[in-house]
Amino acid sequence: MFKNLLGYFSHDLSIDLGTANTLIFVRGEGIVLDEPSVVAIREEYGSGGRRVEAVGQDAKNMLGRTPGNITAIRPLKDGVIADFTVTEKMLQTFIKKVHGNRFFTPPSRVLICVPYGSTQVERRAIQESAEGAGASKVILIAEPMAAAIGAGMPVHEARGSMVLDIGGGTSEVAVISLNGIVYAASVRVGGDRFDEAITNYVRRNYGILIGEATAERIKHEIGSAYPGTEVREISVKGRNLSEGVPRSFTLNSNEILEALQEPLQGIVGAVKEALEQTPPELGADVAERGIVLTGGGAMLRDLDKLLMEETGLPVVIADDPLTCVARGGGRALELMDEYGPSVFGLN
Amino acid sequence: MTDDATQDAAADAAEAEPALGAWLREGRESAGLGVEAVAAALHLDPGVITALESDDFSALGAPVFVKGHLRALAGHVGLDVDEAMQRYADTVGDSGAEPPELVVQYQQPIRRNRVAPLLTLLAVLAVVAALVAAFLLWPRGMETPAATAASTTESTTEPAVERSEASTPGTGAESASATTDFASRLAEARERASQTATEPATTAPEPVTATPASSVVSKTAGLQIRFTAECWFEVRDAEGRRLATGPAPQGDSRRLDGPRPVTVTLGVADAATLILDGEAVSIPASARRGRSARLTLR
Repeated sequence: MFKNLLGYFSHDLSIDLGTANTLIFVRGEGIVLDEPSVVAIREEYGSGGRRVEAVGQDAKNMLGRTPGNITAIRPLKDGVIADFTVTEKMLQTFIKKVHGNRFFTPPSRVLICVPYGSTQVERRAIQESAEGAGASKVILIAEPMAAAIGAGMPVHEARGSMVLDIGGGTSEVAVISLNGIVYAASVRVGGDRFDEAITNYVRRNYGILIGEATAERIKHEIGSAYPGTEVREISVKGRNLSEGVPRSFTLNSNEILEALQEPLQGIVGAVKEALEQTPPELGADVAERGIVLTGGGAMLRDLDKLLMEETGLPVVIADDPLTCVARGGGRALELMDEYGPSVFGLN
Repeated sequence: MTDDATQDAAADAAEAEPALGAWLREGRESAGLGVEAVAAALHLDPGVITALESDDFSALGAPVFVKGHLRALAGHVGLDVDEAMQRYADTVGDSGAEPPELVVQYQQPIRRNRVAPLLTLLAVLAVVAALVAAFLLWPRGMETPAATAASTTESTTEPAVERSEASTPGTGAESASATTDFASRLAEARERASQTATEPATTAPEPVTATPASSVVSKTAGLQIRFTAECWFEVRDAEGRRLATGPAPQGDSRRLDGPRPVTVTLGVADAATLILDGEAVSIPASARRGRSARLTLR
């Protein structure tokens, strides 16, 4: 009874708990939080305790620049929880941030998008972590489903729709029809693997070590998935491994294209596999309408062209691909209100 | 008149700026590309290009696909993609660019009792209101009669109890003989106390001074307990106030007065003799709980 009463004041949140970024969507308000999934932990000398120093953007600014007693970590890896306690703290901070300085913080019903390929144990960890962060009820939904809804795909139609969501840790490809997933696969390749590939390329070819933040900047500025007519360049600094001193050097977009080949082929392989496994009727629908790209990875230059050439199918990028999953979760919550969590929910 | 003017303005705008489809076709033709060539490059069906160039967006499905194909076509033929998107938004308006509504075909909506939560809310509010009302009214409603009674009885009985306790010697044989003149002293004390209580209490509904000593005795119980063995005891008056408690040694005797009925609890029932208003009281079997006893004297 009391639960019903509190429901009047509750705040429904849809959380895209991503490896790279966490986004929170509030019904009626839109995206209210978009912060990197990074937490800085301070080791207390003497007491041996650990204390959260910063969360989100503040913590990300510390990545690779912390003193000995502070560690900036990403508590999620490959779309799932790598450090339970820190994830819980991070979610707690984000949820508190969303509620602001309210006198009365209502219990929140929270929908969290999880990778389709996550195990039951991983899902349970995410659920418990959200409950520990103050959620009164936690609903889990598959990321590709949320991404498709957020992109505005007609998921309810008796027609195949293929979505490829490229996140920070994983890429999820799914074929959806009649509000259900017909086929889905998850590969542990995403934005982080792109950064890693760039770092490795630079170390191998230039003998220079660059940090995570620099690799990400290179990807954003000159990263490309398909050879273009224009060659762009960027000047970066890193530590020369043989000399041991910082050196400046220039990279061009063709080099980055070469560096990204391996992770890109992982994604292309997953899409081709999905097309092979899709029932022919739904495959024909996908061929007619095309594949929709969502997630931060979809913003990599000419990724749609690469997929178009590799699959021979039309590929379109959703509007505001970075927020598709969180927005889709919010819309799914509305439908779950009417039909119950069994419509899209995993738990 | 106004309608005509609006129509004219719309016609002028249409003349000045070709429709999206026409604009796309012009762009493609000026780039020297045929429909087939563009469709092949974008891995699209030529019908999709034709539909875009004739503003027939409904044939292309949800807006996410229309916008995607439009972006690809505009980019391929060298048109400004942002302008293409702006023209599309102008053509279809806000409602046309909305994502399709989510529908569940083969599942029944959950039947929710819309009234139950409201009733719950009302019930909780009623309980809260009742609690608040009880909190505000309780002390005043209960205190007035109880407080006056308590003040009069306290003023009349307490000095007597004190005097009786003060004058009660600690040993058994002497105390037995001493208790006989207790009654007379007690009556005097009560009279004095009732006089002092009534002098300021002019508003009291029933002046105690007018009441004879016998009627005071009838309202209060004069209880004497003699202990033949060591025993724990407790005596409470009608208002639940504890008149006396604790272990009493063998041979002890206590004289207690308080408003009736008086509740007596004895640790060892056989170790005490009760005398109420001069008459011995036997402890009935129903009042006994093993060795102990608990009885109410009216």
